[in-house]
Amino acid sequence: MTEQPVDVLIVGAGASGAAVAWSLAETRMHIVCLEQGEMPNPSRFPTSGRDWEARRSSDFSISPNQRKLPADYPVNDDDSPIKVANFNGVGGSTILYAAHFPRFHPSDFKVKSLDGVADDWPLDYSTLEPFFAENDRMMGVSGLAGDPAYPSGKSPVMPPLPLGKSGETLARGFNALGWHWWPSDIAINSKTYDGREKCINLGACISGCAQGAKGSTDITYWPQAIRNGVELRTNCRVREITVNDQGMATGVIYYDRENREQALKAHVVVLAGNGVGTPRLLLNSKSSLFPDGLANSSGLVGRNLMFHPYAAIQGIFDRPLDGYRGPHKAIQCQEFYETDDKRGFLRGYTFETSRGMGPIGTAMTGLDRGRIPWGNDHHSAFREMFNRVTSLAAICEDLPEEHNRVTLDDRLTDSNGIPAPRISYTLSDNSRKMLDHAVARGTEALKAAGALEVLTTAPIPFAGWHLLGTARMGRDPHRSVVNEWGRSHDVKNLFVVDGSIFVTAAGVNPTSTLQALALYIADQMKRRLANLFD
Amino acid sequence: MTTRPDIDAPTFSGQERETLAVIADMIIPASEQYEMPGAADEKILAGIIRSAEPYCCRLRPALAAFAELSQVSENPGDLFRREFPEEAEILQVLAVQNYYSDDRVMRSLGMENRPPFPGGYNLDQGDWSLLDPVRQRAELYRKTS
Repeated sequence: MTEQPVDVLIVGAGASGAAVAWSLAETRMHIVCLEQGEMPNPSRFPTSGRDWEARRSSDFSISPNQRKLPADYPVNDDDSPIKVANFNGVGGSTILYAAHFPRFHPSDFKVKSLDGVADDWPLDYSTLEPFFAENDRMMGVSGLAGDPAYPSGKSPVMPPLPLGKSGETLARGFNALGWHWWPSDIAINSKTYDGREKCINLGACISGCAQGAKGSTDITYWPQAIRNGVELRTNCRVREITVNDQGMATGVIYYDRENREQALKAHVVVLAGNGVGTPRLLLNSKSSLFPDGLANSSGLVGRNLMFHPYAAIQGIFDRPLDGYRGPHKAIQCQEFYETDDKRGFLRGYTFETSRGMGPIGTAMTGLDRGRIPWGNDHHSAFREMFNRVTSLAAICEDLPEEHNRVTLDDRLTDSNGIPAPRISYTLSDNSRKMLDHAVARGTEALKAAGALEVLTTAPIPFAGWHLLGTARMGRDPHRSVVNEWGRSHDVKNLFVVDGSIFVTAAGVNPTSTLQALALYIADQMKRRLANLFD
Repeated sequence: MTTRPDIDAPTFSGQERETLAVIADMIIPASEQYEMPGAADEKILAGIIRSAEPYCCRLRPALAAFAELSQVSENPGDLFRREFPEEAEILQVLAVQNYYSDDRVMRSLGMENRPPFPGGYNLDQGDWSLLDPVRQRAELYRKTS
């Protein structure tokens, strides 16, 4: 029996798909979300077992190419120094993220006007402010008001997470240099909130939170969205979006959990498949009206891929720190965030802190860097590092460049025969200079904090967590894929709500801004329901 | 490591198991000073071999070559890593994963022999007065209006 058309079809149940589903649920429209992965089972997350560290290299790897779970599709990222990281399941990358939750700054929306590069966004910080606040409430954000790096009015719903020995050590280093630092906004409960307990410091946030203290959308937005009538179908992989002769989207073709090809018609299609998954789907949705892929008259679908090039700066200290205990994140430093062209590059970066590592992480880091040898000296070298390492991670703003892109691989496919995405990406000169600066300043900070030795890596290769820019937002249909409220310029009932729409990347983690944008777009859709396709 | 193993790979021969023991011992030998077993300890080695079996076909040529390297070099470990870097990395990862999961090793490091959940751990709140100098700072962000 052919299914009746649904009102809204959302592709992807991750950070932004969940937020849109929840927001639109109040309209009582028939909303279906198709997600290629499963609903995660926290009882199977690594921290419930003794092998919690080792599983980061197998079924809980951040790399889909290493994980190779049934929901994963291969990614050809051979032509990129930064490898794609993701998670395919309800919650998307929020299942494996560290929950570091800073917002964009006002200047991040005005890069062209302020710094003469890239483009300005078609909206600004003040437009998103109410949606930032709503998302903080839904995800459960801990932090502290009063950060001089942000406009006033930002008020996290819970107090900050503990500094711990690691955070305190780094804070002393920043203070010695007179640099900014502040407790990070982090989507982890510092007290009981929204029916979820206070964090008990399991220490492996990036392997999924077995406790449920970390805000991931499977346990924040989705329960409410489902209670309010949204239908979430898992193990449903969308192959293409179908269109009619008038150039309107009519629905999707997908493979259900029994691998049968199905068609689902919809009046509105919303894409939330991240900065690799969404362009892949659009490029695979060719038709006579859209021979270069759906919604791609600009030629920009897949282009302007932005990661955040990361530098890791690890300090080895002469005293025990927090090690593997506690959330990965604690404080951040934005001393070098805003552009100062005397530094030799434009834009800037944030220093996130990374608390410490377990024994396997310590050994692997030491062996990989040559700090811990094979042989008799292994044990003493290991003990010099174990529980004595804390780190800075510099998240550098990546400027959009059209040659950095996602295309369809001409040979590699997923298990359903859908072409895999292929990543073509090079680091810009601006990024390299920024990374060099971050390594130098980070080393300075760690030594000021008392580090005896500093180990550095830049860029971190397996750090393509943030997938941005590949269906960018803008007012000019020749220079953007979606308009200022997320609707495709070409297809009037097609919306994109994930990181693909980012115009610039900023020097912070994208999830807070990404979800605020998704809520904003959903709000715009609700306001314009009467003439949504005009 | 960047690939999942072939689950249908055959198992290691007796000679290959002996070679794996030699390599494991080279990576992490026993320590009298710290009263620690080495990675070639019977229990730990059994775990390494079990973990390595899916990679058997890939490791086999390297293991065969190692026996020859041992006879011509005073530093077969260094030579092995140079000649077979990917295989050496696989064995390094497996040795570390199995070694640093062993109860005796964890006890020696002062760790509790339990998973993180549901017990969790304690974390110091820290000295929040460290923020005082930052509170005195002027606004850092650029205005846009």
